[in-house]
Amino acid sequence: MRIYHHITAIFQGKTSQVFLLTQHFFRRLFINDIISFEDLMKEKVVGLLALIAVLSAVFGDFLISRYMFIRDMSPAWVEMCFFISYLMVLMGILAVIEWDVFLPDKRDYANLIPLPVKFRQLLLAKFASLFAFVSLFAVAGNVLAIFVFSYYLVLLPSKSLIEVFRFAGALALGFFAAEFCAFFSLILIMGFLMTVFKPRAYEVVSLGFRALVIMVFIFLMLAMITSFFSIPELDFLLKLKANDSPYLYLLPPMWFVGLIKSIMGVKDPLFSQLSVLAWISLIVLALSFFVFAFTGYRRQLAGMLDVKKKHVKYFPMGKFLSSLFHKVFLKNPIQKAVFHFFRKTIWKSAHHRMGLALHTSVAAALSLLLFAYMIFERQNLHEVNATMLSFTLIFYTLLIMGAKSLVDTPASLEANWIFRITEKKNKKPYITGLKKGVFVVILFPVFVFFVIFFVFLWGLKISFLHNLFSLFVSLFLMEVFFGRYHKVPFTCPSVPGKSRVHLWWFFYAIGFFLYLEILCRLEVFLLKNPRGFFVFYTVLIGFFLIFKFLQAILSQKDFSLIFDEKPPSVMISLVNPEEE
Amino acid sequence: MLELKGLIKKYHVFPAVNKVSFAVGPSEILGYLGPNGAGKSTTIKILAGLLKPTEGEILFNGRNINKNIYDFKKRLGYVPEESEIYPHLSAYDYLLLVGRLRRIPEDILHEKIIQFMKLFGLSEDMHAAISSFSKGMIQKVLITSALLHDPEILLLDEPLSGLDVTTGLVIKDLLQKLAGEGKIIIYSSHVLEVVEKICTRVIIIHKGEVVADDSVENLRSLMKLPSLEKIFSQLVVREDTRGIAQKMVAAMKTST
Repeated sequence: MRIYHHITAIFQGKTSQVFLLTQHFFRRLFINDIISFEDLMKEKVVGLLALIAVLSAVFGDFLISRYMFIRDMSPAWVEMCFFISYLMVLMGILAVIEWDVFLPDKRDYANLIPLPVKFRQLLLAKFASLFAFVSLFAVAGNVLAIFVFSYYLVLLPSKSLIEVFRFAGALALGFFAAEFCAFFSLILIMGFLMTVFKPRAYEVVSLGFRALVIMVFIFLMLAMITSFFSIPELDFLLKLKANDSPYLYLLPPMWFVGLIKSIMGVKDPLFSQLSVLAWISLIVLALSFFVFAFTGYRRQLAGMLDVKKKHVKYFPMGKFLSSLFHKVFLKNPIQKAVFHFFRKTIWKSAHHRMGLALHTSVAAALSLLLFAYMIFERQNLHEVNATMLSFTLIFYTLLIMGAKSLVDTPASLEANWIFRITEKKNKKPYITGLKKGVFVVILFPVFVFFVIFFVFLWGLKISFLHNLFSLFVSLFLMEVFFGRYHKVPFTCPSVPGKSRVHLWWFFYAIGFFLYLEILCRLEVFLLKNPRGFFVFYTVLIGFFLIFKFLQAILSQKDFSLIFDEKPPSVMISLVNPEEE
Repeated sequence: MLELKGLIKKYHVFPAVNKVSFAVGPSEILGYLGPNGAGKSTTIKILAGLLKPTEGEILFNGRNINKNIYDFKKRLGYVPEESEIYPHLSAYDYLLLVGRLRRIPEDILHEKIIQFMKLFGLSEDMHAAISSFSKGMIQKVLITSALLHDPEILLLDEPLSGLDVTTGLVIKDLLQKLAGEGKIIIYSSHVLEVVEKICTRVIIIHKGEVVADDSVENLRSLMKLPSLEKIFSQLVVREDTRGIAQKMVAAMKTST
């Protein structure tokens, strides 16, 4: 009755509160911790949707086009299952990105709570906005792919348009249900964590969980892309079905294959049972979403405006180590200020913290994929090899790239006046402080982790030589990346599209893999001939000195810190902009 | 001595500040008054080095501050009008950042921060994120950040905004004490009673131009008006305030 009331209200031109709130929350879904669509939102969203549509269609085409030459279509459910897995992973990544937006925002709290809005209206609007969001991306992911599947599996063999529409409808429902299931299972886990943990503990747990999920999903995505070339291996699903294996029930994508098959009227007991599982999962998910979201959301709201008192205990040993660290490593007060500003912002700003977690997850997923490949190929893990050596470089390189992109992302731009009114003539300490921050906060923990990892795997000597090699190479890389950085971290507006990733991504990727390949092969050689390390370090130091020398000659001596970077002009005009 | 000579700031063609000239000396508390959009904050931001004037110059002890802007900034303490502060940092972290940027020796800095936080009643909350602070608490942090390095010049843009009565009284006494020590203080505000009590001199700015510049006593006797509020109304308020209030009540009662 209430839904009817809302719908009629909309048609009568009276916008209901739930509708207004849904609109509000829907817009906010495009401004989140990981990707901000705030600038040029429509253009970016349309671009992203188009990319997803095309990628899905290409992926679907690659999977299913072999049926052009095969008469028996019955095993096509295997490819369908694979495609559904891809859609679920895609939606999982989206859910993790949107995770934080589900939380009540302080501004929302301050603005909405004093208004006569019921709590259940807030929750319903949240659900509706998420549903609309999933639908938007689901349509993008499905629309071309459904056409591709229908073309190869129905139109080519039967040439019946009615059959095509029936099949396309079943696919649309099955795909959408699978995407809905993937998205809301993750949101449900968030609701569960919100209910179980107190707001502050939730922040930490949620970050760890999201990083883990991103790593797993990126790993799955990369695994799917690489298995493009080994489709016959998917036949294990056919074997499982032939053996009536219960494992098939444990694969969520199979539930939705069952759903599609049942809608198509296929009379197979396995598919019928799987289809029942799909329905049960959807109902359970929707109900549990409301239960957990209701309790968790309310709990988060209740603690929203509390001042979080925190007592900091100083341990004598910690105090001593901290003062020693500052005396040895951070003597200059400006360096100290920038270093700690970088450290605190990376850990305490949700957006930056998530950005760092995202880059770490990508590096971990890539390494995991290489590791899985080694296991698959039955390679000896205890033998020094280029693949394992590349892990450290993958982490260092992606984290340095991540650090560069994160410091270019501002934190409370309106607060940067404090750096402007305290700006000093000598700008070097600002840059040095930042580089020291990147080293201590990001690179050093990776160094420690890999030293321990490789000590267990290859022993102390190899671990030491390898980690030192990777660290020195990465420090040089950091110098290159931050060589012309004339800013205080997080204080300058971000200028999107400066590195033109959309144009050059292919060359960046090739460059990255080439860099890994060359350095890892060189390192294998050096580990077999350890004396060569002296030559290598001498050459590296030589390169470093030449780089510094060139930098000193080419860069301006008395540069000003940049606080207001303008984007490069899209059009080149003959008119001097000063004259305009 | 801090002197502003023919300061003009234009946004596109519209002048926010138009040929503003005045001088403030040590031990002086200058009240900088004006209605919303008169150009007060723009002038203060130009003095703080956050905005560049379109024309005019600022001299400190006879020298153009742009000759050695870094040296001028060293001597400056600034409390902005808006609570623009890094919300993810704690008050302690923020003040450490400011102190280090001001090159205050570490041991002195820690002690100073703890002292200020204690005096402002923020000891319990100084390690909590500023995002959870009230406006008054943020204002206390901003005032501390402006005083940490013992500046020669203090630029205060609505410094009492959000502060409780007691802290307001403390700040008023503090400013008089600092003026006694020879500091130059520019105090921009809407709150006329406070300005009347603590400022040695008042400048009233309207539509970017200075319309009055004298001590409160002189203005009172010159204009033959009993209070600064009356003087301000005479010089700046052109509207029939009672009439507007009446219309607002009528607008409230209009049935929709």
